[in-house]
Amino acid sequence: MKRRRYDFDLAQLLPVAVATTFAAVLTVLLTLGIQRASQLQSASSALQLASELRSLPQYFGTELTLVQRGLESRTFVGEPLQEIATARDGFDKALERIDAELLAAGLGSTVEIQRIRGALDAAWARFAPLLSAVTGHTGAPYADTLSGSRLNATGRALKGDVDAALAAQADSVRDVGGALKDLAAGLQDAVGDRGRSLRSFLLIGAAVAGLLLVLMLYFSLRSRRASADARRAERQVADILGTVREGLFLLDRNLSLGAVYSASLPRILHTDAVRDRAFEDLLRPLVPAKTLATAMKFVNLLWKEKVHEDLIDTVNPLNQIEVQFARSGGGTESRFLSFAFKRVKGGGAQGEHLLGIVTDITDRVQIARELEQSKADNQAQLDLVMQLLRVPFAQLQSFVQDADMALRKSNAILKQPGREATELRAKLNGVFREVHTVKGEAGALGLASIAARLHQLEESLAALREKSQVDGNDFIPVVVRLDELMSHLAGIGQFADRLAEVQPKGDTMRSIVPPLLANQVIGADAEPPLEQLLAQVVRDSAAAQGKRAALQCRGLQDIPPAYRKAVHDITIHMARNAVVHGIEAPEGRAAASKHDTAAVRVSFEQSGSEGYVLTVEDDGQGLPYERILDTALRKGLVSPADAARMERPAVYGLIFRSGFSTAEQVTEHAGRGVGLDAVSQTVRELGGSIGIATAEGKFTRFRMKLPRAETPAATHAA
Amino acid sequence: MNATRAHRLMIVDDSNVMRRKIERSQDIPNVEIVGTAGNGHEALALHAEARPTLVTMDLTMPEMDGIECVEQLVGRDPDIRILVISALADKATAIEALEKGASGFLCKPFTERQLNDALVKLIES
Repeated sequence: MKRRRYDFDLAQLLPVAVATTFAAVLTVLLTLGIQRASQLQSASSALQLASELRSLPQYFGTELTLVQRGLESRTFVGEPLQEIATARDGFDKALERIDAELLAAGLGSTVEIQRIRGALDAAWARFAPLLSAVTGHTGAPYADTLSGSRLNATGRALKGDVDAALAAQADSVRDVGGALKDLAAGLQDAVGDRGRSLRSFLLIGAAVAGLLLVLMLYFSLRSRRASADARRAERQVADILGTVREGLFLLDRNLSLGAVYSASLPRILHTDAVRDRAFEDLLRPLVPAKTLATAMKFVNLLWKEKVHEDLIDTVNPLNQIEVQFARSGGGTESRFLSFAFKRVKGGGAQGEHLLGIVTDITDRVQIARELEQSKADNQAQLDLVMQLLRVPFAQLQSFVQDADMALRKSNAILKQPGREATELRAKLNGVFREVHTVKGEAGALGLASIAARLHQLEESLAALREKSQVDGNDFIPVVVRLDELMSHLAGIGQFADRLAEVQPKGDTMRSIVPPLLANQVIGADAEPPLEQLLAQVVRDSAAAQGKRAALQCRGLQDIPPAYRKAVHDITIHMARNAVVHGIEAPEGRAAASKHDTAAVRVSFEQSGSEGYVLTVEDDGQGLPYERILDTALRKGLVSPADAARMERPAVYGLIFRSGFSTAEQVTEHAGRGVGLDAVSQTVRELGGSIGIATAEGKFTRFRMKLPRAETPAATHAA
Repeated sequence: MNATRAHRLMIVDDSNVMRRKIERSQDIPNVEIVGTAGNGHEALALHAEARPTLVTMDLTMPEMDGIECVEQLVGRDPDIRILVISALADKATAIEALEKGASGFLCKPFTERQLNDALVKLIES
C-alpha cells in the first residue's frame, strides 16, 4: 500500500517535473538561438563592411592618380586630397566596426579570422601611413611666378609622397584586397555556420515544444481519465455502501465513526445519528455497562500490534448481543446483533482505521434456537417413547383414557360459569383433585413427561389455593397449562393407538416390550398386572384425597382374553371413582361409625353358562338420590314431569347418561360420574348391562353382566 | 539440530492432560517445545532457563494465574508471543490477558488443527 501512495504522488508530480524540464530546455534553446541570431547579424554586418572595403584600395589609387596629374598640371588638388583623407578615416572606422562586429559575432577569438584580420591590419598598416603622409601637408603646393606656377617646397614634398603612395598602391590593392577577400570568405563561412546553428536550435526548440505539447496532452488525458476513474470508483463505493446488507463503518483512533458508512447501518442500529459519533455512545443504549466496558477494551486490542486479529475473534463480546429497540407502535422489539472488527490495511504501518461490520442475526439466532428446541423436542419425544414402551400396553391405553377424561373434566370445571369467590374456589379444588389423581397414576406408570407437566399444573393450582383472593383471570395460566397437557396427552394417545396396531392379537395385556426390557412385566403371568394396577390406583387416589381405602380383588386372573382390555379400562375407572367419589373421608366414616379404611372390591366371575359378572363396589356413602335428580333436572336431562314419575333405579341410571358427568357435580364429594357414560357405553358395546345397587350411607355396587365371549372382543371403543 | 529451530515453545497449563494434548498436537516444523509448566511460578522459572519465544498459557491455575504470568513474562521479554488457551467462560478475563500483552486466544476444547493454525498465526503476529 505504501507503493500505491508513492505511485499516486509520482503521477501528480510527473507532469510538473516534465513541464519544468522542458521549459528550461526551451529557454536554453531560445537563448542560444537569440545569441546565434545576433551573432549572425553581426557576422553579416562584418561581411558587408568587408565587402564594401574591398573597393577602397582601388579608389585610393584613382584619387592618388588624380592628385598626381593635378600636381603636374598645377591644378587644384584639394578635392581629391580631401576624398583620400575621408576614405582613409572611413577605412579605419570600418575596421573598428568590423572588429566590434567580429567580437559580437563570437569570432573575436577564431584563429583563422584572427590570422586574416592580422594580415589585413598589417597590409593596411603598410599603406595607411603613406596616405597619411599625402594628406598631412598644409598650405598651397604651388608658387606662382611670372612664368607660371611651379611646385613649391610643399608641392614637391606632396608629389614625393603621392608618388610613393602610388608606387605602393598596387601592393596595397593586392594585400589589403586579398586580406579583405579572405575575411569576407571567412565571414561567409561563419555566417553559414551561425545560420545552420540557428536553424538547428530553432528546429530542436520546435521539436521540444511539440514534444511538450504531446506530453501535456497525454498528462491531461491521463488526469481526466484518472479523475473519471476516481469518480467511478466513488460511485461504486457509494453503490456498495448503499446496497450491502451489513452495517459497515470505519472507526478512527479515537473509536469514532467517520462520514462513510453503509446505508444499512442506521437501519440496523435503529438510529439516524451515526455520522461522526463515538462508537461507545452508539453502543451505550444497546448493551449493559459491563458489556460496553469489555467491548471497548476488546476493540482497543485491535490497535495493539502484538495482537493477532484472527486469534481474538472468539473473545469478541459483541459477537452476539441481544438488544431492545423501541417499536414505533410502542413497546420494544428484541433483536440479535453481531459486531465484527477488522484492521484496515494500508495507510500507515499500523492502519488508521478499523472496519466495523454489524449484522442483524435475529433470524439466524431464531433458527438456531428453533433447531435446538426441535432437537430437544425430538429427544423428549424419544424419551417419551421409551417411557411409553416400558408401560404395559393395556395400562397405557387405560391411563390415556382416564387421564383424558380427568383433564376434560377439569376443563369443563374451568369453563363453567361462576364468578363468586366460593365458586372459583370450588372449581380450584375440583381441578386440583383431578390433576392430582392423574399425576399419581402417571408417576406409577413411570410416565415422567406427563407427571412433570401435571406437577407444574398442580404447582400453579397450589399457588392459587394459597391466594386469599381468587380472580377469574388467575385461572388463565391454569387453562393454558391444561391445554398444553391435553395436547401432550393426545400425542401419547396417538402413540398408543399406533401401538395397538402392532400389538399381537389376543395378547393385549402384555407390553410389546420384551420382558427383559421392562422389569414390570416379569412374572406377569403369575400375578395379573390388573390387580397390581388397581391397587396402585386405589392407593394413589386415596392418598390424593386424604382418604384410606383397601382394595380386594377376586377372579381377575380368570378374565377371558377377549374381555381383558375392556375390564381393565372399566375397573380402573370405577375403582378410582369409588375412592374419589364413593367413600368418605376418615372423619366422615368415623361419624358414621365405619372403619376408617374403606373397602373397594372388584370381582370377575363366571355366571352360569351365559356369561360373566364384573362387580365393583365400595362401602362408602351410596348414591345421593336427591342430588342426582336435581342435577339431571338442572341439566335438562329429564323434564320435571318425568322426574316426578321416575323410579329410584331409573334415577340412578341417570348417572350413566352422557352430559350428566359434569364438573359441577363431581366437585361435590357425593358425586359419582367420572366418565360413567363411557363405562356404560363400553358395556353396551360388549352386549352387556349394568346394574346398580346402593344404600345411602352404606354402599354402592355396580354389577356388569357380560355375555359369553364368542370371539375376541373388538377393540374397546376408544 | 534442535538449535536450528527458530521458535521455542513453552506450554503452561495446570492440567497434565491438556499439556500432553498440546505437546502431541503441535506439529509445526520450526517450533521446538522447550518445556512445560503447571503454574505461573514454574513458568517463570522455566522461562529464565529455557528462554522460550512462544508460550501457550492457561488462565486459571493454582499459585499464580495466567494473567499475572502473562504480565511478568511480557515484562521480562516484550517480544514474547503468548497464546492464551482457556475455556470461554469469561470473555472479560481473556481480554484482560490480551491487554497485558498476550497475542491471541484459543478456546478450549480445540482440535489439533485449530491449535496449529493458532500457533502459525501467533508466529506471524
